[in-house]
Amino acid sequence: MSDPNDITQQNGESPFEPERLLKDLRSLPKVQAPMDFTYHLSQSIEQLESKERVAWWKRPFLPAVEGGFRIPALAYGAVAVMVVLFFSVYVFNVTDFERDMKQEMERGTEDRMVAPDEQRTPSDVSDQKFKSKEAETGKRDMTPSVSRERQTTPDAGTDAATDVPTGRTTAVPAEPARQDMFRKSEQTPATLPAAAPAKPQSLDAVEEEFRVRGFLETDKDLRILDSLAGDSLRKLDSLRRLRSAPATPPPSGNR
Amino acid sequence: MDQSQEQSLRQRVEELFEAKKLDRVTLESLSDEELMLLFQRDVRLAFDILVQRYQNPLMNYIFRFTGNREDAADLLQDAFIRVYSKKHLYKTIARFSTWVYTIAGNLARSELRRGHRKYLTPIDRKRNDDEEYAIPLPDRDPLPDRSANENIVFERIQDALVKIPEAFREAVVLRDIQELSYEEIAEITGMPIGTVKSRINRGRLQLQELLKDLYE
Repeated sequence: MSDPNDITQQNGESPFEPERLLKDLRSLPKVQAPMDFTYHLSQSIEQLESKERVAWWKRPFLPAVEGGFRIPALAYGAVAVMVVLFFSVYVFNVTDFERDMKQEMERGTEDRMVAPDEQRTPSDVSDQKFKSKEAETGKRDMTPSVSRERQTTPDAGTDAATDVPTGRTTAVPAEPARQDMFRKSEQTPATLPAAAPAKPQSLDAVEEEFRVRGFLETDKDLRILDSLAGDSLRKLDSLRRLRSAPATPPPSGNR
Repeated sequence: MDQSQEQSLRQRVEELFEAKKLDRVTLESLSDEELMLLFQRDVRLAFDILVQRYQNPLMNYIFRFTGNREDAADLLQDAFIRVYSKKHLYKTIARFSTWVYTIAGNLARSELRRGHRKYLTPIDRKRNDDEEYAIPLPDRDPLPDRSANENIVFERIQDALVKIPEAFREAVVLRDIQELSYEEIAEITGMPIGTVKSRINRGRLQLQELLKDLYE
């Protein structure tokens, strides 16, 4: 029974061929497949083919047995939470007023040069009310208005320390940066830096408006809130958000 | 198989396919490789004939390798399902028997590694003299048409087979039970012929050692 290709023989190693063992190994009874093997095999193949026929878009919703890869319910919940958070934080967090203010800031100087009579804002309306009250009480009208903002320069008309408009007016300046206008609305006069860059009077006017309305920390007497308190609240909120927005450098003509 | 043989094989299959001579009688006369070529052209009958030819030899091989009948039947089904789904991977350069034995051997080895404890976990019990020993649980294949003595010998051989290392067991089963050539075994196991022969030798030695009381 020696094999001519037997390398072990060529190497001097004799193959171990126990005759009785080999005879018994070869005469071991042949185990056969089960009687219903072909039937079960056909069924398995049919199942395999039906899995392959499942549409791709159905697979995430089917269990693995049916050819899918069911995504756990927790994943759907996590995705839904993320979508809701995204919309609530990034989409709905921006108010209409803030959008309008941003658009207004992006407009050119010609919009700011509009005469006060041509454009009335809620602050103009409230200005008129305070003017009438000041006329009655005899106190100085410190209420700024949008119309006045357009006619004043920052340097001439503001106190360097507090940036409070002093009432002096000069020639019409270049357009101040809108974002600078609202940046200090949350600061008290004491916290403003001494060497702060001069702001356009329009910013001071707006700040004064908010101080008068009583929405900022101040040691001055609170004025009576006007009927547009809700609008003012929204303005304040939007101004705070704008302040946190990245600043655009003021035009060089304002300095 | 060289390229000219392969080419003639393909030509013959092509002729049969075009002539639509795909009845069972015609297909049963074809070789395994020709049937596989037809099956690659979605002739399902060719696959059925191949299953018919190889289900029993493969069942015997897997059973002798794993030692468990139920698992052998499952693995056999898995092997043919793999042949069905991966038919496009078969190249006629290699023999079909080599390919299908390789698939079956890989599945059996994976199953053994996955469920190694299932085959070797002993049940310990104490004898009356408080001495512990392990009782292995082999799968017994009742053979009523043989004498009781022969059955005992066959059972002892099967028990000894599952005790020797997998690499030696596979070589001994393929050579001495399935009666394949050294070249085929080398292709199936992916080992050089010298290694195959060495493993067969060592497997036989270990079997002889385990069954020495039977052959003394």
